[in-house]
Amino acid sequence: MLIEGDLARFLSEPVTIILGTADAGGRPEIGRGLAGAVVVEDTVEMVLSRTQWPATAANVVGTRRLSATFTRPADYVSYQLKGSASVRLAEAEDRDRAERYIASMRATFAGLGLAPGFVDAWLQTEDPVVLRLAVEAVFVQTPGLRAGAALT
Amino acid sequence: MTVPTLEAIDDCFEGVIPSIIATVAPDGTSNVVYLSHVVRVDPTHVALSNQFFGKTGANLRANPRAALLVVDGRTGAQYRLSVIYMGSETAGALFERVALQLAASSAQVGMAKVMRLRAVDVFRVEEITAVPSRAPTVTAPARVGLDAVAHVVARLGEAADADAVLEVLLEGLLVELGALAAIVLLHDPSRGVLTAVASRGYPRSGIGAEAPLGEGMIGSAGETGRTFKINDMSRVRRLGAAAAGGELPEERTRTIALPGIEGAVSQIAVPMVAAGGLVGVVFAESRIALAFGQAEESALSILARQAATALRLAEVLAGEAVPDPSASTPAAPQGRRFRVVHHSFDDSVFIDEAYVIKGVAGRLLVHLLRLHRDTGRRDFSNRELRLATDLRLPELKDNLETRLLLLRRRLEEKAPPVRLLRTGRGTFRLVCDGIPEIRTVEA
Repeated sequence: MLIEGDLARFLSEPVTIILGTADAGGRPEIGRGLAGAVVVEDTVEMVLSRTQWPATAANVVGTRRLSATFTRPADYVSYQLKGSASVRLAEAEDRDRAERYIASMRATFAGLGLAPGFVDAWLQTEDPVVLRLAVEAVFVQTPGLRAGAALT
Repeated sequence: MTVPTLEAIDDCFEGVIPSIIATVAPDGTSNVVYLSHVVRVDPTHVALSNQFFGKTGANLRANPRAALLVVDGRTGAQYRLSVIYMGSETAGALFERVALQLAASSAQVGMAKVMRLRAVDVFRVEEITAVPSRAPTVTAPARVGLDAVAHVVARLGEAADADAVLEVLLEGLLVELGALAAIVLLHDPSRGVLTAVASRGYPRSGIGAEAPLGEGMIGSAGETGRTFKINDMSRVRRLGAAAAGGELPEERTRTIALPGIEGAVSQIAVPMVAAGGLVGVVFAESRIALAFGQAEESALSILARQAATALRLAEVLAGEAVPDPSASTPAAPQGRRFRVVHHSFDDSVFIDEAYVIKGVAGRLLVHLLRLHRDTGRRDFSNRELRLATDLRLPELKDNLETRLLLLRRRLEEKAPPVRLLRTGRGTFRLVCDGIPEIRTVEA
């Protein structure tokens, strides 16, 4: 599914990224991603600390499936992207992107009155890998009547 | 690392930082969304206030396993909960509890009618693990302990009158519970409002300000007899922005605005109940996120009820006191004349064009001024006011002392030429700097 225009711009804003995966036995797992970016027209990449979220990385390797919800903290505007996924090792530029993302999230949350220590606890870069999500479906996830509706 | 218990991670269940839930569809596709509220039910169960929209609900009916990520609202520490969906409740004690919690946060943002809870979804907790983090731990101040509560309760026990009870309660809130500001409002059953009688920590006292029963956090706490608490910084901030500005002068509105502090992120309203009746509401706020956790809520609940009982007792004792007539010498008013205007439709009283008070306290003030003007009397007792038939105050039976306290404090603050001085338990003196010219305006 093509990711372009407003949605592509939204995904690379200072938005939170929460990740949903499952193991082969259907046990769900949660993680937090860093630095979303549209790299090809239907593919979004994000960085993940394998130290902090080991099960998320293992599930993507094992099932090749990933769901990611991107949310703007100020107004809860949210989109969930679902599709097939793969893992690659992070390069220097991925690490730089992750650090810049953390700095921007720190500023964003500070503007909302949150102490910087919170963001540092949630967003870490140790042992980074890159999750590569080939998007098959996008859902509106903003709280409200349209929550859960598919974007076509 | 020790395995965390639900009780030990209580600060995750205050709704400060959104929680996250992940579920899995039969084809293995996961779904991950934010949640508004996770509630701790007992040592092994949590409940979600979310009326499940679409995918999460469908997934849970097919596969009851879910993962929850909850965040400590004071430190940012994250915990992962493996949970099993047990079913939904649409009535009963747990449903009521969650519905009230939801109503507490939406009452403050004016969404009480929008956010209606349809069901509470109950989950058994299988495992709790702390999410690893190398970030330096944010340390949060210790929660209030029983020793601090005992200290305030002991001082409440020593408070000899309503004034002292209010001072001890407010000081306890600011010192022992760490509130930045707090205010006590007493119930006026005749008008269905709560009236502010004492505050600490605000830029102005707000004495005489009113909160209608059922409106906002304070009015809701009064009406339901339950605690209302808000720990969501952005909601409070938006509300604060909306409420700021546009204050009309008291003289036009005949109302006194409730005081506030800028940048409050935590607020709590606790009912003061004694002998099965509402005495008032105590409200506290702070600029610290999640300043009022479960421990503070329990502490405040104990202190508010203890203070309510002490106020009721002070009322009874003041009503029984018999004044010593030899201690009282009439003195005719003298000096300059000052104007007192009494509007009978709401008993509002203006002195030299400045709004003073309305309601029962206004009626009391005019009654005392007339007696003083006509007879020169200065010394009065609660007992005789209770018996005064022309005051048409049947409801004064229970709260004369606190009405007088409100009137005395409001007069002190407005500094018109009239003051009330407490001369003993259940007795007081009217001090007039001049001769009142009283005019009653009929509606």
